[in-house]
Amino acid sequence: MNRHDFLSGLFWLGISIFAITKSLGLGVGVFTNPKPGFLLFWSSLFFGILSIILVAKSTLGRSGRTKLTDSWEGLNWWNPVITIVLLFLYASFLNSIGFLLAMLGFMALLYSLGRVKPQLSIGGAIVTVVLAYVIFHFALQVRFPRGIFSW
Amino acid sequence: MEALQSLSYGFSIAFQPENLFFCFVGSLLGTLIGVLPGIGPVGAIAILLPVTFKIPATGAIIMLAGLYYGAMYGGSTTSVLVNIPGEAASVITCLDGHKMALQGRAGPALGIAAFGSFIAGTLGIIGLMFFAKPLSSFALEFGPHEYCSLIILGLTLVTYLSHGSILKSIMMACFGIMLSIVGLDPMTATPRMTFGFLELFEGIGIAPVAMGLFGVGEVLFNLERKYSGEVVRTKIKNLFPSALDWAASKWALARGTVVGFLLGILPGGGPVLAAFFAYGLEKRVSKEPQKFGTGAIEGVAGPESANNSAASSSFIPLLTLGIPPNPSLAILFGAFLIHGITPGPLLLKQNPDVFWGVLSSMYVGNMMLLVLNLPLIPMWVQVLKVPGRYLYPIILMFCLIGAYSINNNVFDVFVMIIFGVAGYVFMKFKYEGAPLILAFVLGPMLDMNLRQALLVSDGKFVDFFTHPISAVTLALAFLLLASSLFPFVMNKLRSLRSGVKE
Repeated sequence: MNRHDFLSGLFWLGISIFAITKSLGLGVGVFTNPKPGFLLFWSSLFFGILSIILVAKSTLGRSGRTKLTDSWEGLNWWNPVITIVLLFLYASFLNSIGFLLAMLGFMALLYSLGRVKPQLSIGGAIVTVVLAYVIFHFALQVRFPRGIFSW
Repeated sequence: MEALQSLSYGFSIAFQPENLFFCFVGSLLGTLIGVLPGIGPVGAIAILLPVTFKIPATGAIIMLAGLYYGAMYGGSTTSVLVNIPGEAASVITCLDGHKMALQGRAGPALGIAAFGSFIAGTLGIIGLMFFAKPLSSFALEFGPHEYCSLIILGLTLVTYLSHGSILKSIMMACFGIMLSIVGLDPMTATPRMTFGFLELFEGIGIAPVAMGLFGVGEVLFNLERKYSGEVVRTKIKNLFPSALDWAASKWALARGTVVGFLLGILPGGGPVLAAFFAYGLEKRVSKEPQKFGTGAIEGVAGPESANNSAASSSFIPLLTLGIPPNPSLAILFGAFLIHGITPGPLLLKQNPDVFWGVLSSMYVGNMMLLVLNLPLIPMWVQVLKVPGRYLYPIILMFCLIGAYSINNNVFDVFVMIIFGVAGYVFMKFKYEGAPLILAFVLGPMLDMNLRQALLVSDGKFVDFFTHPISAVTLALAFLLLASSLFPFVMNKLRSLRSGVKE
């Protein structure tokens, strides 16, 4: 069994069922008078059928045999996981603590994740963030959140 | 004559100092992106899209266009020197280009790639110049049935030409259409799948989706790996190909240009398909096919001219029909809309400065790229040595800043991160993001045109086949789908026959 395809197929089937219920709520209409949910309904239905085919192919062994962990074997999978956590933390704290501090923390932690020495991580983060602020805020007029510096 | 007059008008726009600057920046960044493996032109256009919000529309499109064809130039450098393609269209150049480098002929390989790209790109732009106006006039005959059929053909082609599973590509295209529905219905203003978020009333933004899938997703994918490319250590000399090199590659250049031009116009075609097709063609017509894969200069000249010619001609359906033929131009299409310009048959009439300005800037950009690529090769080699642990955080920073700058709203940052995670998971589970992004861009047009077509024809699907253009387009789409199923059906018949014999 191809576990990747099996699990992803089930996930997509769930998405298609959800989308179909939403489309029915919007109103599908008829061919002479399609309503807002028309394309969503038919595309979700088709999507659901394809998901079932994918699940069937994976269980019948037509798409090879894999384990769920195959795609991560021998790789530094914790790097993307930690990065994702840092990304969400950055976005969550961006408005409250401001761009400069949030990005500084984000960059310093990312550099240290790449095994850069702590002094270099912090120094590099400061240089990168200051340069980015100068380019984007002053040159390109992007309004960053000030957070704790909003006085 | 009219085309030449329009072209001179275009040059008057392209040669404005600010537009020259944007062309240069786009070409330089595009080459840099093409050189760096990991982030392709799609990701680069997505990441730099928000940067263009603050500059005038014409300059923004010129810069993004320069980035797109610049990446085609830059991709060949890493293919030859490191045997790692900088972007998908340069994959095939690795086969013979790197072999030439190992034989001490990196210079001629890079030189013929650069000159071939310049010649093919310029000829592609000339073709664009002459085909654009007649095609725009023809496109004015298009109604909702024709647009609907053309979009279906485009979606069929892009899934047919994907690298992995066709089933998964079709699923991604379906999912892209479903995502495109989010927002207010353009006909009735009914909120669709907005879940109470005001930010979703205008739909999910193309920029955060593209940056997430192709920028953040690629970085997350690359973070798992150790970059292991070894730069060819031989001294790079004699960048100008010899007379023998030119004699060997002239027909490959010519064929690559024509093949690339034709394939670039097709929805779903583009530089990647053109490069592969051109290589196969050269091998087939060669008197010594066995030398391909061992350092044949035709194996570099053909694909490189094809991919640059396709990069130019792929602007034809975008600018004249308003149909982006590949994922990179789908994001460029989004850039047009963000700047308040609608690509399509009326672009020539309503915004001739944008059309001719962009087209003329492509000539200028091609010149700049030839000048940049040859002398700056040693610099690109140094850039290749920048470790990922410095490069990837900077790319992520650009993505985060870019996503926020769209609407000065952290919601877009969250959307980008979610699609970044999705892009990473898609890659692990062997799903491709390209069909999704193309369908996502084409989805709203498909929704609108399909409903209009059904309303106009009172629900009769047969009207799609009584309109000649629509009928031909749908027949093509059907043939393509059928031909992709043909090998599967033949295998089934063979296994049934062998089962019966036993």
